[in-house]
This record gives sequence, structure tokens and C-alpha cells, in this order.
Amino acid sequence: MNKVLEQLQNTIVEFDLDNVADVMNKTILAIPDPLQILNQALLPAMNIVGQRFNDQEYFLPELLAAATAMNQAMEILKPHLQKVPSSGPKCKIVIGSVWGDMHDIGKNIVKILLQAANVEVIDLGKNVPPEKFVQTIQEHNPQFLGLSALLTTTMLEMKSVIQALVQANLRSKVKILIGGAPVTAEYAQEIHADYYCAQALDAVKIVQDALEK
Amino acid sequence: MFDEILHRTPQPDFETFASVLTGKQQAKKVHLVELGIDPELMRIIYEQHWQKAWKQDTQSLVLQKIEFYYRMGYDTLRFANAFVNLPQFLADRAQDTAPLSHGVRTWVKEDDGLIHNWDEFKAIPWDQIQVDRACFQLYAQNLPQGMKMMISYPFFEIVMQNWLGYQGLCLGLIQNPDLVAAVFEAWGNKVAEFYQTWIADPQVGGIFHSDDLGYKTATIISPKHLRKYVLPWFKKYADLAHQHGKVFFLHSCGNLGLVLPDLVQEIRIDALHSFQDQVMPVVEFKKRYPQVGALGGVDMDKLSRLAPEKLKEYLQQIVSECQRIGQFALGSGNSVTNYVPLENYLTMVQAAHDWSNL
Repeated sequence: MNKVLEQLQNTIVEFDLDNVADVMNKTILAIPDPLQILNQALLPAMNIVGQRFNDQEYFLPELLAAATAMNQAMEILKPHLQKVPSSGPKCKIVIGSVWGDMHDIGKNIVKILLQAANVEVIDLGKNVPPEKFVQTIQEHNPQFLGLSALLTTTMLEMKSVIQALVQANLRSKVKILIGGAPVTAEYAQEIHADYYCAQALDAVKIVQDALEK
Repeated sequence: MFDEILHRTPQPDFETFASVLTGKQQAKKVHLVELGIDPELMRIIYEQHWQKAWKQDTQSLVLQKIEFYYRMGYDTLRFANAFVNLPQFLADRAQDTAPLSHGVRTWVKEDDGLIHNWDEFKAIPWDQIQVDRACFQLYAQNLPQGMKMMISYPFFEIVMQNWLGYQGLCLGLIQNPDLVAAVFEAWGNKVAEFYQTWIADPQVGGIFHSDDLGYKTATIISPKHLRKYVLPWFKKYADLAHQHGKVFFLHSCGNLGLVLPDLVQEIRIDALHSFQDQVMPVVEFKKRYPQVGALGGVDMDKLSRLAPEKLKEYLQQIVSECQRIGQFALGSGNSVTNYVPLENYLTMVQAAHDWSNL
């Protein structure tokens, strides 16, 4: 691998937050093609981070720090990418914690990781009523919807969101991912969600895999 | 239907309860335990089954709680009114969606804390945060004979959720570890002060330390960080209880996999609380660690959503396996929240009663 790209990749993987901006700026000067920087250094860096997380070499703080470094790098790269046709985010996802639920650690980590994977994220925040999800999907036409809940009692609101989408004839337009402490694969099946995410990185993998199909 | 368990004459016996959990004695019945029970559920039983008026003033709430735990057959309840002069922690509020709704549920504001830098750390009036003595006496003077309190206050959770905020902690561990260490040190000492104040009291049976270290698939921070900043404090708290001949129970949600051996072998927890079937069912824990007590074990999702008949079958399996192995007390996997149907809660208490009378 090109040494400049390698250094950038290591900066992300080792979450060197103090130096990521400098390294990114140097990379842009050395490598004129922003897509090359994205595809050969930044996205592979997050794959390495994901692998280390799966291997329990990294935990949430390291994951969060690496994703923060990635997003800082992306902010610098973004104006350059915008000059290249078809380099923008490959897909769009709406995410939020459901009505009654104010927990958003998991949802925020999913957001950071998805953004780091070059996915456009529309984050509706927490305590989101079903009609807000419906309205946002109507307006933005995303490919995916991600729902999060911490408690068994708020988890049940996921079903309300899906019912609201059915009523609005939008259900077939989005793939629905659900996750959170009480959520299980069985519950995802029960409420007819498309995917269950046991952990934040599952959401990234599901979105990436779906795009490749 | 549940008359027998709602109208019995209890005989709490904390010493036997502790002896059973620590393996010094075989269980002659299924003991009950809870980390917490939401007042909405207590109130329904209090008003509808015991025909007593529920009062909302602070003193009455304490006395009603004690009476509830006593009459429902518990040997212990948790005392967690630790401090006065705590700063106002950041909080969020949302409509409570539970069947026995609070109206509004208050949530910890997780993403942000009070401390972002050294100036904010130094501005916290640590010396003014003092142990709440008045509330303790109210409990101590009103405990029925045989019952004891377990003293309890979070350490890691308060640092993570309130002092630093989750993202502050995560990035702080990497960018500002000295500040993180200072916050852990300051708060660790405060919690130690609370435990030291009450541990020798004869009405205190031990420490029921409550700190969620994990989530569904891993610990919240790495085992390396837990061993550096958190577990040494757990060790201090456990040693304090043991030095006084008392028990140290730990409530910790989530997947503790990589640090479970530390908790068992180094910290020497007497019993673990908080079991989620998705992470490690209580029966599996008992098989892996038969020499460590298991508290609770009824998965929250099942307790909340199973039909009573199905719940009975599930309880039967837990109780039969765990009682056979020993060092077990039955209860919810976390706490009896206001979204647990009353019938399911009573079904769980009934299961302990029925098994004990076989």
C-alpha cells in the first residue's frame, strides 16, 4: 500500500485524534484522487477497526474514538469528494430511539459507524413518535430505517412504527433494522422487522451487504 | 388466587438467606430477592389486596416499602439513599409507556456529563457531598425483626452516566486518562465513604453493589480499563464487607464474560445479580459457577411478556435447576418495573412459595 495511505489508515485504526487532520491534509496533497483515499485508506481502516471490535481487541471506547477520527477525516475529504460524480453516500438511513425511550448510546454509535461507512444518516434523535418516522420516510425516501429501544416497555413501540408504515403504504419501501438491550431476533421476526442487530456493527454490515446485493 | 402469598405471616431471616447464598447452609425454601420494585406495583397490592391507603410523603414511602418487602416474604431490601448535596445531574424526560405508567419517566442523560475538563472537575464541591444519615435511621428503626438492609450505590455507572457522560468517558479514556482517573478516584472514595459509614451497623447485612458493566455482547469499556479504573474499587468494597463478616453481592447487567473470573476469584463476590437470557441464563451461570450465589434470574422480557401459564413453566425450570445446584434466590433478572404485569410478579412469588412447600 502507498505509504501515505497507510499512514492515514493507521491514524484511523489507532484513533490518533490529535493528528488525524494533519495526516488527512497531507494525504490530500499527496494523492489527488479523493475516491482513492476513501476506498483504499478510510473504508478499509474502519473494516480493520470492526474486525478488532469483533475480536474483542477493541471495545466501545476504541470503536467510538476510531469512528470519531474517521468522521474528522471525512469532513476534510468531503469538499473534494463532492467534486467527483457518484462519490457521495451510497444510501440513506433514518434512525431513532422509539417513542418513550430516551436511551441513545447504542443509536449514536450506530450513527457514527454508518457515517464512517459513507452512509447518509438522518438521525431523528430519541423519543420519536411513529408519525415522525413516517413523515421522514415520506420526505427523504431512505432505503433503511433503524429503530432502537432500551426497555421492554419501549421496545413494544417498534411494532407501532411498523404498523404506522404499513398504514401509510410505506412498509415495502424501507428495510427495517431493530436493536437494543431487550430486542431479540425472535422479536424482530414477531413484528416483521427485516433485520435484528445484536450490536452496532451489525447495522453497518447489514447495510453494506444489502447494497452489494 | 394469590391469597396465600399475599396474606401470610412472614418470618424474615436474613442470616439464613445469607448462609444459603454463600453455601454455608442448604436451602429449606426458595428465598426471594429483588434489587428494586417500582412503587406503582407495590401500591396496587397495598391498596387493592391489603386494603390500605397508599401515602406519597417521603416517610410513608419508606415505611410502605419496608412493609411491602416484609409481607411479600423478602429477607432483605436495598438501601440506596446514599448522599445529600449531590449536584443536579443532567436528565431527560419522556412519557412513560408502561401499563402502570409513572406519567413521565426520567432518564439519565447519557451522552453528556457534568465534567468535561479539569476546571469543571475542580469546581465540583466534593467535600459537600455527604452521606445521608437521616434516611438510614428511618429504615433502620423500622425494619422488622429478622430483616436486614443491603447498602448499595453505583460507582462506575455514576462516573459514566453522570460525571463524564458516556461519550466523555469513552473519549476521555483515550484523550484525557488523567482526568478520567481523577473522577473515578473522587467518586470511588465517596461510595467507599457511604459503605464505611453503615457497614458495621447491625441492621446492615452487607453490600449489594449495583453497577452495570456490560451490554448485550461485551463489557462497556475494555477489561483492561475495568481492571485499571473500576475493579480495584469493587475489591475495596467487597473486602470491606468481608472484613465485617458480611456479604458482598454485585448487580451488574450485560455481558461480563471477560471479567467474570476477576469478579469471582479476585473480588470474591458472594452472589451475582442481573441475568438476561440473551447474555447468560441464570441456570447456565449456576452450572459454570456453582460456588457463587445467583440472585434473581427471571429474564425481564419473559417476566414482562409471557402469559402466566408459560411463565410458570419457565419459572419451574429455573427454580428446579438452581435449587438443585444451590446458593440461589429467586427474583426478577433486573427489577420489578412498572411494566411487569402484576399477575406475572405474583406468579413468580407464588412459584417460590409452591416450591418451598413441596
